Amino acid sequence: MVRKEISSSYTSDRNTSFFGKFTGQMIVALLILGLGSFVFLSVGARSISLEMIWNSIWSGSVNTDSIVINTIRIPRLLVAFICGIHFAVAGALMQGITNNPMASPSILGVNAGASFGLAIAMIAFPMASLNMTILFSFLGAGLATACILYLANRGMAKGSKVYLALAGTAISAIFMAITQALVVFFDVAQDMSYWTAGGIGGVRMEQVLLVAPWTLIGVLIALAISKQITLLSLGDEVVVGLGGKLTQIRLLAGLTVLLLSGSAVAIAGPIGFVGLIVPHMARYMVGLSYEKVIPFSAVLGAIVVIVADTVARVVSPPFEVPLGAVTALVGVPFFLYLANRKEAN
Amino acid sequence: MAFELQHVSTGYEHKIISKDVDIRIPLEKVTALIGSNGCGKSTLLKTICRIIAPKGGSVILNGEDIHKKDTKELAKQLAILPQNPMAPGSLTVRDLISYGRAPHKSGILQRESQRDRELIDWAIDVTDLHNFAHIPIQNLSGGQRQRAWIAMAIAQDTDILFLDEPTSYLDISHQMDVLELVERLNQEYKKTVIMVIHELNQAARYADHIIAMKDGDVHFQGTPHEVLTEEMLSKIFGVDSIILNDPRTNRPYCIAYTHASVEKAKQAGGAL
Repeated sequence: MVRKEISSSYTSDRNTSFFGKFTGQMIVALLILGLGSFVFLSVGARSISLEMIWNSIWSGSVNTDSIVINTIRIPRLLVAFICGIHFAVAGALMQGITNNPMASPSILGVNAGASFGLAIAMIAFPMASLNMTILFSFLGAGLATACILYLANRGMAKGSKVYLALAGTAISAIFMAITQALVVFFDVAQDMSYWTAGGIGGVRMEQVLLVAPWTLIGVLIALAISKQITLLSLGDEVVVGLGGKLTQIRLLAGLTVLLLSGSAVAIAGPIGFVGLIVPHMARYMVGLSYEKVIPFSAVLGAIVVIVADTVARVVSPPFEVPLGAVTALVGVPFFLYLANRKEAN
Repeated sequence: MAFELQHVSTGYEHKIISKDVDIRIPLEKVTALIGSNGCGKSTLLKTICRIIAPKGGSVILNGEDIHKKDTKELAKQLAILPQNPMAPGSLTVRDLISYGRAPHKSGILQRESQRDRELIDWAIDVTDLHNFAHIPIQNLSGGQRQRAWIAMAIAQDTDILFLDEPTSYLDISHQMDVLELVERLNQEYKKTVIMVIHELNQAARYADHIIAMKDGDVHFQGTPHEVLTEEMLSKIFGVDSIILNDPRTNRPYCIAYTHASVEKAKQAGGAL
């Protein structure tokens, strides 16, 4: 029998308009981010009008308000963007490569490891540059990740989703405890306390400019591997069948997670739960394809952090609630919900 | 033209399951791998389709060792349906099937090409999933879900298809659906199908070539008439049997008895 060709008479009845939909969602998210940014710049210990904000950004006029805007609030806004993007994209990558809805930089101990690295840097090299502290933070995050991978791949609990989260929490607690002990013993507690609570106040523009290239690199790598990450949700064997390179994707994604979480912790401390919640919100809105989840998580992460930081500043002015406490307030119930939910499939 | 295994040894981390296996799998035919549970047939299938790298020997397709070829290029030649595949439950059938097109795309955020759409629609058509295309896979029955996965594998548009126990956990009518589909893919589209299957009579009826394994070794290979014999059933499965001919398909089929039941029948004076 002659081989039947798959005829071209099969044409889709469905209008593939989902691209239009995603673009629309992205535009709405960016608009919200823009609006939120203005609110972010306006509120705080000193309330500044929107008109004033506009003028101080675009005209060179110098007064108290414009100094507050340009030297305090804009760097703070940019750090909020960076943290939101870093933690959310890192969380999305982690959930993608582990196929575990509970994976995120805070739950799996990556942030605690980064804080540990940071404490070491502060103690050993008090005069270290930001890039140096980022490097330590990165190494600490890598150490924590190695511990978790070791724990997660042995024994009878191998592959259990809840076990991985539990191992992460334990590792996280150990690294936090060691960090606390170190900072008390070496008397750097003052420097470290705001950091460990997770806060983005008092960040200078130079710091922002040092971290920004890492944001760009991290997000670009994440986008480049996003298609492969999507395939991972179908299981390793299917990925191989579809021509995916498992080790390569996991390694690249893992390094990107360390880079993003490590640098965000170095500049702002371990702001928890952003990396856990945001990818879930993104998947709920744009679907399961990581080609959309990753860019959308980046924008959504920035929105979540600026909202949380705005809340942190307006709860009891002129004092600030640590940003990490605000994100935990929303994040902990969400984590419990995920842990209680029936494991997917 | 054939798939050839030359001195292949395979297994997991520290455990060798098959040693020095030499087989030839004919192209454009349906081949069934049979054997008792844990005999290494799935492991061998995974080695042939490159999920597991062999510990020795080589798997040759068209004169080339597939374990040395680029995996993405191979994905245009071989499609794999693993045992119990998993996917996020909220994924729709059509979206699942569209993943089969992944090896044919390069960039990210790339739109479906005309060819992609044709193949996805063709896969939906062949597997008869029209009414389910936009339904999340968690709402499908086991048989429908298995058809959706097969649709994904065939949307990949490869000449060779590997199916690891495609009929397990399905009731008889869904088993027949899947096997009729395999037959159709082979006869109408000249696809090579290599599958692991437990049900011997189905293997004999739908496969052109059967490979019977025990303890990691290949003991019998050939046409259903050559392989489905009393000797094979006794040696591979340790059961007594009689082999008959299906008058409709002209393929052999077997009825198996345990040795204990044979003794019992003897004592009761039954005809053997």
